[in-house]
Amino acid sequence: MLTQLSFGDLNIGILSLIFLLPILAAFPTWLVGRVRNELSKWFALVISVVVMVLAIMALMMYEQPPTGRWDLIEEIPWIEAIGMSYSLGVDGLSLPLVLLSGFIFLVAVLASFKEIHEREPAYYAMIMLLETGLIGTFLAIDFVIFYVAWELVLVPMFFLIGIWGGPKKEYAAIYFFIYTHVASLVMILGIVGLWLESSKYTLTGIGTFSFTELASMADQFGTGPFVLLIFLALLFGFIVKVPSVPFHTWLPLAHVEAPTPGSMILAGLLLKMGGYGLLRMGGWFLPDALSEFAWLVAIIGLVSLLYGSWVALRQVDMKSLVAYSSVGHMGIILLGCATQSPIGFAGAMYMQIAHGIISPLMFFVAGTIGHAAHTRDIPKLKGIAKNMPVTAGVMVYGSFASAGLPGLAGFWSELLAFVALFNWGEFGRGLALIGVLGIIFTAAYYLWMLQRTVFGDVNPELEYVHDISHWSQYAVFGFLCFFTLLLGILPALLLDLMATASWPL
Amino acid sequence: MSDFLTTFLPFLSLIGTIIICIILEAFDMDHRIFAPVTIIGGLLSLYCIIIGIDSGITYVFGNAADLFDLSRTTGLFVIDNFSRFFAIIFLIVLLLVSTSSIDYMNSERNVGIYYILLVFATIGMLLVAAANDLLVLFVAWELGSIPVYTLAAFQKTRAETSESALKLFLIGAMSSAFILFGISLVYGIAGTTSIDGVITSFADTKSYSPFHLLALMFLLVGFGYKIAAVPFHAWAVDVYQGTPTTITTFLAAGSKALGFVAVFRIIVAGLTEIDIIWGYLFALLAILTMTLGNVVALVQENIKRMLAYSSIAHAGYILIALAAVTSSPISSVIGNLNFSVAEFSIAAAEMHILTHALMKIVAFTAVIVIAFSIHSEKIEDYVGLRKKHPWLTFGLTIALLSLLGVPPLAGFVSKILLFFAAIYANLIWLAIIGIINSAISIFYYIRVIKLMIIDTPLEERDDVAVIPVERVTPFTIPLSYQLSIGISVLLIIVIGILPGPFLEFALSAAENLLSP
Repeated sequence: MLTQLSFGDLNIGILSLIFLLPILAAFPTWLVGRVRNELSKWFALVISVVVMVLAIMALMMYEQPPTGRWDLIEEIPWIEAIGMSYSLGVDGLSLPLVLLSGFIFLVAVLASFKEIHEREPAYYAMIMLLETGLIGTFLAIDFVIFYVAWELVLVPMFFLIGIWGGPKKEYAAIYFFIYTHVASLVMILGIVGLWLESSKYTLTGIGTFSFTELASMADQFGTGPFVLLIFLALLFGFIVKVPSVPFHTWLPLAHVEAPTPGSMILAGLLLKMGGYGLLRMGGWFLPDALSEFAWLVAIIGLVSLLYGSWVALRQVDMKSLVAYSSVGHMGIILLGCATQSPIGFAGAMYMQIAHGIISPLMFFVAGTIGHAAHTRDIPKLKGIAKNMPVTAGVMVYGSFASAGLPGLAGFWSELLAFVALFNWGEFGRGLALIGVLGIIFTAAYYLWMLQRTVFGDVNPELEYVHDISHWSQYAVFGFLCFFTLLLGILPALLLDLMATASWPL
Repeated sequence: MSDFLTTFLPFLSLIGTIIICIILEAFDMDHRIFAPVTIIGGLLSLYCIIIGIDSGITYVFGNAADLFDLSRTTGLFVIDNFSRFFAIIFLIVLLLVSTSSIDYMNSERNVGIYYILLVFATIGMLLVAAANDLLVLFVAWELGSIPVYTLAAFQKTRAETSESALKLFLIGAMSSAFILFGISLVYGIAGTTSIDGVITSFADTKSYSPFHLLALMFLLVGFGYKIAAVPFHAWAVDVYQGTPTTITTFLAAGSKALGFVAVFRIIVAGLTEIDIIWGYLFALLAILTMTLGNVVALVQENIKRMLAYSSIAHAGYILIALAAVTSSPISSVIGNLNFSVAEFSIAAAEMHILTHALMKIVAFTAVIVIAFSIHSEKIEDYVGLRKKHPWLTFGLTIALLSLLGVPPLAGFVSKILLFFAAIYANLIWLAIIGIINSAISIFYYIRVIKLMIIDTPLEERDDVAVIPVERVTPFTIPLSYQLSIGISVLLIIVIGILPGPFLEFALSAAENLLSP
């Protein structure tokens, strides 16, 4: 085990390095790309490897803090007049997500090697900016830093979709930006409300944005009407990002139009920001309000699960199918969170990671096929296994993982979430019984998709397609498949990391 | 001596600049000499102010027998952190505007006069920020305004310029009349024109006659025109569109701040103890101003008009802080922090005036360059601009995102401070309306960004048969524009990431204003 690093008088530690390295590297990435085009992707790859290594080092330094506390904390006053400071820290909920972010960005950079050929320097610079935003969201233990990082994600993603996207990219990009920015503004109302509410309990008499302080006063917040309003404002901000029905409409559009690595980041990480916010708020800051509104969260989750998987059945575009499957799977996070039990939380957290690995895999499959065959329409992709055996094999594997086949990562999260639902009284049992339908639909649309694409006679138009050939594509498949399997066989790896001490309940 | 240096030299160096410029003009020197002279004078003045920060409060001209006696505790002018804060804003505006004027005014005649007028206006603004007497304030106000009327009419061959200059002049003259009438009423009531005296005499709300209110109303209307607060905003858009763009920058960044300084000096400092009704009045003005600005900006087709409405909207955000000041008692303190709600609100307003000035300088300077490059000020012609001017597009994007309030840029920090000012003053609903307005404003800012960066440039599109020749003609951005845009963008980012020192300074300025 390593001891914590700290530099200088302000105690800049490893988390700051993880947080700031990508944004500082963004401009150099662009600059080296101006010198020679392909340098930028190698530079971005090196930086993302370094960030991944730093994240692993943080994991080695990490010691399980008690409930409601964080480890590896860094705190520097920023705007003291409104009680805001630059503070970073990790706990059992956020550390796995930080690792996941480092990992997915590494994979996404690799996936860009064969995907992106236009304006590469700017593209990789955007990816680096995005990485800072995403990792910052998970590292922040101050609501303002959280919001800054949350908003920092929007701008590069807007450009990623808008510049490197598909045919309707302009529309998709602006729709994405406006939808999620408005949701963030509602969320900041909630954050400010929480700050106001907290001012009743602080020693200083002004509010606080600090996670540690908010977590310590979570019991006192209770369920007054103002607290419930705060809860609803934050809930809205988070479920738009998750996204849940009926606020999911930006997602399929953004996914279909985004470049494949962008889709991978969207599905693998952007959606997790919403899930993370929800779990963090429900478990740490406003547990009483969550119990008050558990029915609402559960029903939104259930509707998302059923609607997402039902609509996925009818999708023609493969990316759009995977996008709707994400809506369904993220519904399980809401269900797990609503039960307010350690098992339910574990299920939700497990789903965050499992879905964060499997859905990028599926998007990469869809992107690779789209790249090779120039179409992603499922009816046209008949018999793809003949010419693209590796991709088809991975597609089968990923579909089963996503559908929750035992032995692969997706299984444990669904199991834990449903066990928690069954233990949650009459209401939960009813929900679980209906929710199982969603799992059945999930299996159904994946199997149907596989039947239509992988097997059967080859579509004569697709005789010319070639399978993956570049090492970077093998690496992407290899990494993602490996971790899907690893987390399927050894769930304890992850469950120990987010061990009971981090569950506040 | 050092007192003398920090107190008089900022003004003297500007006056010296004017004298040098006049002499150079008289000898018919090459017109390229004026900009460097102005910039050096401005820098010297800025330097003297910056080294004077936190050196206490000095009253000037308090002793009629000895003009240089600085030991009195009253005087016609007061040099404190408040006046220094605004002096810094005005000087930054002067420096950046005159930098970008180097090329803008290149082909004009009488360039010397142009810079002389700019410096005159700046001196007037500096004096308004330092005025401690209503009559002095009025004279300084006129000094800060009249040169701008002339500047607005500078390109007198263009019909629309003359029209907008005339509008600006008539409205300005009318607002001056309002102010003067207000001042005379105040003098009638208080028997003095010294601001300290006026504030003391207005402090007792119980003794108010209708004339007290009438006097304050006249002042408010007069200053409201300069701020371009709704319903006194109608002139602003036409004038911003019609005047030479460097002067538009000066109006949006400098003159607007001038209006706010005067409001702070007279109304806010005097009203902090007064009835809650003033709080509601300012809140109403704030809501009207920001909503109208944001909603009307949505449908603008000309970039200068859009930015003008956005400027009105931002005046509305700043008015939130005024509502917060006037609706909270001066003594109400925030928690165990060592400043009051009123001080925090004024600091927030100062921060936003500063960041708004920087953002508008970037935006309007970029508009100048683009107008020279593609010969258009229409928003739809900005399509695919990144192809032709990648760096300029980057700068303008940063400015627009900052205007929109995207972290971690300066606009986010100052906006959130404004909303917190409202919250500290128990005006949560006002903060919510502000946030809703931010949501409305997304549409028109993001549209420009989308057009510039995301949409396919005309050159690359298949369905466009004729490409205007100026879109493919290479255009090198002159160094002067690069400098003023670059410096402002850098400042926007720096203030966004490290707002601490700026906020400290703004807070001490607010403290100086409220409790001298």
